[in-house]
Amino acid sequence: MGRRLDVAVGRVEGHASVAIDLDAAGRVAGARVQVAELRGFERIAAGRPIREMPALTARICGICPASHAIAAARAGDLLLGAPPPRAAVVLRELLEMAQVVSSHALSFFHVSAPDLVAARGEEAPRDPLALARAEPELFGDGLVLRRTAQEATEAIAGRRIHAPFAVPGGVAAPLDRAARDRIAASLPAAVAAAERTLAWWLGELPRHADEAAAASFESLFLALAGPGGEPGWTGGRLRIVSAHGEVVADGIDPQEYASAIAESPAPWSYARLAHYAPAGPEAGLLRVGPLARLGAATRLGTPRAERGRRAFRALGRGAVLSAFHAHLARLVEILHALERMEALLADPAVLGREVLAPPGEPRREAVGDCEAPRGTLLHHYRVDGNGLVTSATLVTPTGINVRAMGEAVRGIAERYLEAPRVTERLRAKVEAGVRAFDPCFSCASHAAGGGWLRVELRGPGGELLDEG
Amino acid sequence: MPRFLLDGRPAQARAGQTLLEACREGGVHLPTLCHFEGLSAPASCRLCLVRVRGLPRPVPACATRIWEGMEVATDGPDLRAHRRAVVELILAGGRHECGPCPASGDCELQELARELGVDHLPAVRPPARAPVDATHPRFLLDPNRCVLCTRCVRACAEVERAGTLSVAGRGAGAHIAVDGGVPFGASWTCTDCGRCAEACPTGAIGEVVRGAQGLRRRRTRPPVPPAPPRPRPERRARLATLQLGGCFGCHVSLLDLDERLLELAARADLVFSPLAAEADFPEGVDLCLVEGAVAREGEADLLRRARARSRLLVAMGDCAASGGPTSLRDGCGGAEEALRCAWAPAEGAAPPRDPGLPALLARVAPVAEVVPIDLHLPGCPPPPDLLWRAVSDLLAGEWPDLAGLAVRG
Repeated sequence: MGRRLDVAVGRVEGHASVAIDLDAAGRVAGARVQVAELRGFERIAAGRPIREMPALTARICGICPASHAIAAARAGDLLLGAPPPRAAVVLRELLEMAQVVSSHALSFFHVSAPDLVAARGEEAPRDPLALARAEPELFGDGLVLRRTAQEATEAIAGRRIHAPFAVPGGVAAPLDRAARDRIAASLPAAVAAAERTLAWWLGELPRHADEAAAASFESLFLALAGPGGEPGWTGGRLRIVSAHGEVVADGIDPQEYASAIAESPAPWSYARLAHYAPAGPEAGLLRVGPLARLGAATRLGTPRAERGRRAFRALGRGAVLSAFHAHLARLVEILHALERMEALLADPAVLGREVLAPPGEPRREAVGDCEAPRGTLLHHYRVDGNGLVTSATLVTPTGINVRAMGEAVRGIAERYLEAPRVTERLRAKVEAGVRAFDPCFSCASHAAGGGWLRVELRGPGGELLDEG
Repeated sequence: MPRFLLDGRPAQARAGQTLLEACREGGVHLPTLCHFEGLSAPASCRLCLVRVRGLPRPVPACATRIWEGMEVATDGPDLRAHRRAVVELILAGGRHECGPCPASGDCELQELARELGVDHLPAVRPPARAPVDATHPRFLLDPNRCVLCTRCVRACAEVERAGTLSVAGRGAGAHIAVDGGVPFGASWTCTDCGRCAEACPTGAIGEVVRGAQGLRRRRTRPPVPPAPPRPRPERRARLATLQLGGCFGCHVSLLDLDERLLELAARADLVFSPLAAEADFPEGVDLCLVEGAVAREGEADLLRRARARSRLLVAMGDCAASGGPTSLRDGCGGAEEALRCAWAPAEGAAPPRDPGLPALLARVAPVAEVVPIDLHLPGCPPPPDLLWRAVSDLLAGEWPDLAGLAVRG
């Protein structure tokens, strides 16, 4: 007779719960992360004009609204036949880079850092305000990074959250010189904060070897890559890398994503589950996000982050497999994003006044792509002859990662399960393991919400053993 | 030159002038919606009602001429309650989720709601979403956002003299019709002049190319008065934040307090939050901030528990106030239809059923419909300055002075 444990997990975005299944002998048989919310954006999109999609889908997520807006706008570019002018392309990437910095900083400093400093053996701060009191210097670097990124977003797009900026055919407004100079002047302090945190975390890593080992498992890695092998932040081609670091598939046009990513329903989650289509659901376990991006990228193209990428790659033979190392990957990407912002601001095209292309030859179906902070994001729309959406499919990073999260939790539960109940230690480790994915269950359910995760232990008959 | 008394002060008007014109010239603000400079006055929205001594009931200022010796009162609790009710009914009669609307930030209805302190809507079943007419190459007609002010109809008839637009149907079925009931694109009288889009106070008729948010002229919001410095208390206050159905954006806006978070950390403990690790809503909370609307089974109970255990409860953002983007699904078949749509692509799979999955509610309920609130901070999301002003003052035991920016519950 097997059983199931349910565990409640705090500090995640959106609503989800974790169920750990035990076999008759009380060993871990499997684990699932259940997305427990559905806001129905795919249905809401139907019947609305394609031009409204960036502002509508931004509301899926308050942490990465710019990424949803950019993916929707990129689909809109194709549907309206309006390739955006170069200035708009540069401004979208600039916005996406700011989004990566603020989102990663939120994940690392505000959500995960309390776990990470708890391992030092001191009394653990359990929330960002407690962290601010206990670790003012570490928290201060997080503040600098988030503020720099959010102020840049405000300067580019008019406001910090749900900014109406990326639109089909380009962006809503050009960037003026004063705003560019203001952003550029704010970057050096952020780069210093990012380098400080990266160096600190590299020094901390040996303390976490145990946790890192428990969250290690094999999977495929999926990311968008640009023509030079750098991450395809605002669009690229799909690249899939194996657990051994070999390229399995490359150069897949996002318009053909369905040939690579298959989605299937599960009776225990509001989010669909994704896998690499040619390999089938079992062998096709996919991961997206910082770990996958740094695994799939051949280079980052910015010098300081490139050094960080090498330190990251040294953590694994082939690909880096531990979900725990997403923390390091995030810090490397923060540095990379800040360096990209410097480069983009130095590009004269960033001040281009022409930012919106007129509509041309329309299409009836298109996919918009980008690398959101949490991984590959795809918006697939069909429209009627008047530009009203007839169907929308949103493939979100957390949706893709949900199965992999279950794998990570299974490893953690195998390592830390002491009795058939949810102990404080098990709960803390499971929580930290789920947080390492920086999951956004708001996005996963193509729809949103927030709260925390429940962890349940269940037997093979599905009966609830314990929860916490 | 009739002389009259305006709110107790002597005033003068030109012969034949309406009360509304005289008020505006005299610097007295009256809310209006159906009024549009240069068009006839149907006096249909009833927002500019004023009291005139000697008349049995309030009269619309836009359609009342001034007479010698008239005594007019433009403000008062009854008039304010009346105007607020009008805006609530208009909002409840359509689908006015501001978040993704192209007119947001440039919408007279949105401004009126803020000005008049509409923090939530009457508990009514929201109307199903009506189809958008996108057949016209230049203009989009979205009946969901129409308030039937008839400004477009009058602009079309009185200025352009095309007579393309009219009101058809009665009661709840009333709607703007093109040439008596053809698709906009099939109109044989429309001259493409654009006066209808110019006159529309909301996002109901707009130019297609401006259909994306951010491409319209935007009003600037009044700045939030800075929070006065507050002494640090002897005891840190107990602060909670609650996440219901929403996008987490209000919480992100809270983190956008930036360096002010250090000040907050010195003055409060976060005792319950999606950003903290506590699993149960604790007793003795001083201030609870709620993001989102009640959208899932169990959330109403959690909210009631939070209310019972918190001295002050503040609704953050539009979802908490009116359902906002979270309630969008109610307009197109609700949770059941959303589930069917999310699952239909997968070969007709049955929707998920599992003990770990709370049921999605058939109707999304705003916070104020479930529990009383003390303050509502509007916005999608409310800006950090507004959040800080409210939190900083409330933690210090003061009511924030946020007239026109926030709404007392």
